[in-house]
Amino acid sequence: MKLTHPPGDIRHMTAALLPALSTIFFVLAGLVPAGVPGFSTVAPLFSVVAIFFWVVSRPNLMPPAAVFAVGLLQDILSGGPIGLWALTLLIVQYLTFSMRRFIIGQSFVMGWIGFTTTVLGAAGMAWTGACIYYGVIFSVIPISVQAALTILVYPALTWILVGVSKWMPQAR
Amino acid sequence: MIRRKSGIDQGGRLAISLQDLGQRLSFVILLCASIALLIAGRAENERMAAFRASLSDLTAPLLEVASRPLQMLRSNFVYIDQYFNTVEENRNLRKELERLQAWHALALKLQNENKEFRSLLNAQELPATPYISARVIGDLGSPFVRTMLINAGKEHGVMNDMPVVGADGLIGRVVSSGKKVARVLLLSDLNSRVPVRFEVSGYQSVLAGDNEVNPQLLYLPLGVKVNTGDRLVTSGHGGVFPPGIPIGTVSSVKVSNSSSEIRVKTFADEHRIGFVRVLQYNVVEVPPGTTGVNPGNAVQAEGPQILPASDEAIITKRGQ
Repeated sequence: MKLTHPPGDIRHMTAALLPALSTIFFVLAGLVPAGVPGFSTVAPLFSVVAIFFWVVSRPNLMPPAAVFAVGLLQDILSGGPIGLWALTLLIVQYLTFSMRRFIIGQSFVMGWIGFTTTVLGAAGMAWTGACIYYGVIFSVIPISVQAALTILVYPALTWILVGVSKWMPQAR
Repeated sequence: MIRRKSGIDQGGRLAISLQDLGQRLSFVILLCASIALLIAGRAENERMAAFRASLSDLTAPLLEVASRPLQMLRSNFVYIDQYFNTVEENRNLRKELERLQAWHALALKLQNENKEFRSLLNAQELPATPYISARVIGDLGSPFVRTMLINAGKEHGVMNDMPVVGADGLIGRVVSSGKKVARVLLLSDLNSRVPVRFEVSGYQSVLAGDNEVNPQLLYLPLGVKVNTGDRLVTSGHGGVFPPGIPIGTVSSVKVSNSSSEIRVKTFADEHRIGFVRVLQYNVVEVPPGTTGVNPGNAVQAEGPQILPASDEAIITKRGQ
């Protein structure tokens, strides 16, 4: 899994940034005012889908630093405790990476099952973190709905990301 | 590819394991960093707040650009939504218009009367509060906080603790203002506490958010009769909010022997706010340590809650 980088090859350099850029795009998509009542509270965790996808397909292009930066961006934009999403997404990366060898080369459904596990872990982590941070037991309903929606949008978003990764030069 | 096979193999493997080690190390360091950030944020000091506001400034343009196409889409959705209810809405609006015309006449009469009385009494007029209009660029965005981002900041005169209102009533207050953007804490947020008054009876209370859609009333005096449909306005106590801004109506009253829960449906629908007005109301500095509004800090609803006695809360359904 190593990209060759001929000097000056714009496409390769952009390709190396694509995973992080697409993830940032997903973060933004989850935060803009959607105008659907109550939606933003339970908007799918788009960033988790993107990080899962890239850690499985191109782990070296989604290093911890990129994950951390994306998490921090999400924290700042969503107005929540700074560090909560950074922490959660790093856990997502860890969970995904440790499952990677069971998922890679397997059927789509296997990937989906792996993703479900990851999302549940992430939702649990975020919920626990928020409860500790605020010193309140939050209702588990919004985060559960959020997790469920995230699992449901996984196929569609993965389809988009597969399109993005096809454009990228293949790893050699 | 073949060139690589023999000689570089060992070196390549070493490089990969080194890279792996580096990634592991950075993973652990960043994990610790995020926990440290969380702890630093919990302390809620000035510097962290300033850091946060400046980061919002840096990232907000991204959101602003991203929100434009969706805003367009949204107005279309609303249009479609309305299209299907046109006939019924028309009927309701006509009825409402009839009713309001009577009120309008009365209001004009009262306004004149008021003006007369004021001049007779030589009463002090409250100065009109100047305001800044802003667009909502970032939504609530999380199950744990209820805030939104608006595209006006210190440059436009938006300061911390300024009240934010929509077309229908109070929305919340500014909690962190950056140069070009500011974050608004909504009434339903866990940390929101607003001193309110019953418009008719005049009883004081505190509207407290708990991340549910409808915030609840705390610290009501004993024996107050609360009906669903009662209107609430800001009381102006604490100095953050000017008095008399409409907030909402009592939507539910649940009373048991040991506790009561009174919820308020706010006039402003958090999910349909596109534009807001930030009131440049003179923010009164409350010295630290005194009781009163403590901006930016969570006031937990723990103290003794004074509740209406169970037989006193008479619930009558109005406005149906």
